[in-house]
Amino acid sequence: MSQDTVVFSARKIVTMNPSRPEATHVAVREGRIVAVGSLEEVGSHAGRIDDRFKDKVLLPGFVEGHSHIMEGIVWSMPYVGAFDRRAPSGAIVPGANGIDAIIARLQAADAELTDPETPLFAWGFDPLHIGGNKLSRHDLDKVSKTRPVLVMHASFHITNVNSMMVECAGFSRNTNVSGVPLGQDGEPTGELQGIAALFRTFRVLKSNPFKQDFSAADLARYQASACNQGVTTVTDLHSDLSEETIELYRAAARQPDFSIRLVPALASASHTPEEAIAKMARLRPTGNDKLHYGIVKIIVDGSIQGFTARLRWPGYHNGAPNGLWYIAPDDLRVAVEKYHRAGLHLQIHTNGDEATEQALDAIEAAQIAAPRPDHRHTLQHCQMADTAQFKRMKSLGVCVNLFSNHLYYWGDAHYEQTMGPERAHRLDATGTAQRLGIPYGIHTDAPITPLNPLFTAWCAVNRISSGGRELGKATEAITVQQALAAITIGSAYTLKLDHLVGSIETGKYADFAVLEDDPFEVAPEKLKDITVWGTVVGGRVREAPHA
Amino acid sequence: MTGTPREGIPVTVVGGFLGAGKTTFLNHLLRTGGTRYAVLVNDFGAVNIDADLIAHHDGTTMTLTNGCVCCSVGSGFIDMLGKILDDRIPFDHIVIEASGVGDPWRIAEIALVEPGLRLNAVVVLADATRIATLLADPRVGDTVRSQFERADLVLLNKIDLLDRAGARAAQAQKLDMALVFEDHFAPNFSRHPIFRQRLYLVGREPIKGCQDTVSLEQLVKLPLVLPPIPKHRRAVIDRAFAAAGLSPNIVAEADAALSELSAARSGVGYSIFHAGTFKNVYPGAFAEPLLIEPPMFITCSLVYSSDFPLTYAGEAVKKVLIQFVEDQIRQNSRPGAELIA
Repeated sequence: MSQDTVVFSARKIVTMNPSRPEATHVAVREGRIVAVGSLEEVGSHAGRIDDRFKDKVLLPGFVEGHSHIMEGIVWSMPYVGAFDRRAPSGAIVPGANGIDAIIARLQAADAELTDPETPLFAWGFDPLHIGGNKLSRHDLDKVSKTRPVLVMHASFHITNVNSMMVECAGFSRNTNVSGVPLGQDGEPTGELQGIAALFRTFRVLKSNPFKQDFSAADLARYQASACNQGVTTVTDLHSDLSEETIELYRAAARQPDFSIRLVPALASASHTPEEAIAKMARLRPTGNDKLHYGIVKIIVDGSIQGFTARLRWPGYHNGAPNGLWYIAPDDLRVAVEKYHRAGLHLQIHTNGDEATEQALDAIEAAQIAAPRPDHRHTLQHCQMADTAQFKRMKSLGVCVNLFSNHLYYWGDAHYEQTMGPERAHRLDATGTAQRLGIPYGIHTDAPITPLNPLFTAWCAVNRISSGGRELGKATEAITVQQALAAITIGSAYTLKLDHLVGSIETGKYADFAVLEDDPFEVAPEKLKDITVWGTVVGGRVREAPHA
Repeated sequence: MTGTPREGIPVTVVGGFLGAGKTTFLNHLLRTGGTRYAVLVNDFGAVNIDADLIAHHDGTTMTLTNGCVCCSVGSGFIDMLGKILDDRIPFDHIVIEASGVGDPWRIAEIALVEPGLRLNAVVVLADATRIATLLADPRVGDTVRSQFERADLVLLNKIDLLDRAGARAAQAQKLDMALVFEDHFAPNFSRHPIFRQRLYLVGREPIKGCQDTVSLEQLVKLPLVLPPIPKHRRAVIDRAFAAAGLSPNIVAEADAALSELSAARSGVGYSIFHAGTFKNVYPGAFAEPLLIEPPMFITCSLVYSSDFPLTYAGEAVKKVLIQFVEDQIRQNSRPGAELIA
């Protein structure tokens, strides 16, 4: 018995520990779980009883295995996406579901800026979500003629700007580069993409919003977003890990009120394997209970809806040319083997099935060259894998983190344009992973889609697009139990943190998602509507602001 | 291709798939001196710049003994290029090495939209021993092909390697096929000539009295920098002089083509080349090249072992490569090049 022990009582505790699936009380000491069970069972540990959750349901804190610190950064700018989205402040920002709504939102943001020349950035736009309507420079001229206005797409690969920005950058009817398309009037449409257009734009603005220099305020917003959605372990899955970033993370993770366990992944693209291996050897011992180093991220291809993912034959459904390699297949093999031999844990981004195939080939070669049990290399997104590829994952000991949110946000585009009906039905094949016993998680890739694991679980259970089309529901949908496992213990396993988080179990960190309703009692199609009260991280309670 | 002439620092983008020889090319460029280069490598990792050129190295940026800088920037590429422009260091030339899977033209477009820059050229390198295989590789063929689409200059590297070791490699079945400039082959080679290319005289100073061509009689009066005897180009040159009963004045022999050019550029002598223009590599360094009269040709052929019949895949690769080379010749309308039907 200890005076420092707190026993949380709850309406129900869903533990995700298969040998003790349910409980009503959990005893916490020094940030960790000392006992789980009924009041009687945890009685011997009883210290102070805390019954503030007596009408709530506790789950293990959600584990987001693929998201980015950018989620904290973007909320310093107005959101103009088509779907409702919860801001770190807790407010529900309604979707702007048409050009007029976007303009109105931007006009309001413009009115709040005092200096008439400060650039106005916004984010989250996707023409696919508003019936294919494009945002022209003339639309954005209605927002301002005195300041540059820049609207970044949900993918962050395309930006729409106003005439002021077009003119400042010097783009005109004589501009002849691929990333500055001209309209029917022969003038730039205001849509910008690619390195040349971006370079010129950032140079004129004297700022680069994609540069990974962020502040403690951005990190605070990231923690707030996590708390709002019940997330207690969260990744920053592609970071250069500059000295500034390392120091920011180090300092923040030592604060007692730091309300996430942060798992940054070093971007292989900014280092040679040798540099990355040396850097990780240096960083690993600098982590603590809230900061976990050890993962290296490799990006193999682009995105499916941007037609930059690498697809196997017969390629894109609409005949678009095949996508881009971000690393050549032979280089991938070399890098994977080096990281594998160095004992590092790889998270490999593959969207298209050709990229998945190359990643599997690389891991197989590394396993033959240097067999390593329990490496847990994880394929990230892996949206188009077929059963044969899943079977290879199984035999190679590879985990997978599937992007179930795509079913909702881009399922219709995949069905109609990118991969056609058959392949769209097995998009993000959680059912196959489940049947074959492959360890898997599901993710949001926030801020690409909202940081909201319950929504992701809903997507994996219901497999329905935003247009109302069911995709492989009979074959690839998983149960609520399986989906909740995927956003807790499943994702924890893919991060090699399942011995610390992902279930409510003696010895693990006292990390809980506090819900207003029992996910097993609500209808499966209502899973996304459950209100998150807040989180407990290491026994420390954080209430989310209520919308 | 670059539109109206613009002011600004000239930018050359160097592309090519992995192993095409981009780093070797950069080392040659940096070694030639006289030009103050800023070299940006748009890829992760260390650039293998020859150690004797490096004066200072701080992890990402190398300062070279001749005032050039070289840095590998990966994701910070945009910021680094901006910094170079902001610092107003008077670089004569910016060279950007595209990543092995990148499209060099996309990077070249920066120089079309940034007023402080002007596009000099897109140079794409290819490894002659591997280009056939790469173009036919279903995984990377489209990536490799797209790199050539907007190239001003395509340089085939490692041809020397083939001249010397091709037969052995083919016999060992390590090499399925290759593109070579060669007329004489061991009997166990099959060859498919694709085009022939006239040789040019390349040098720093124009030759008095010569407009477009130069005769062998005029040539023997000039100091020449030529490849050494085992090289095929040398054999062609020697045969032409012998047939005319003349003997050339050879002042130096240089093993690598870029060394020959460096020597010619420094004014040591003139060189005889199958590529007509090097203004993309060494802007303003050479006088207009002169076609040699009577013509000297070297023939570019696809070669493969006659001992082992080409597989079905091999035949497909052969077709792809021939089409590719023919397209390149047509698009670049290279003077002195003739397709062999």
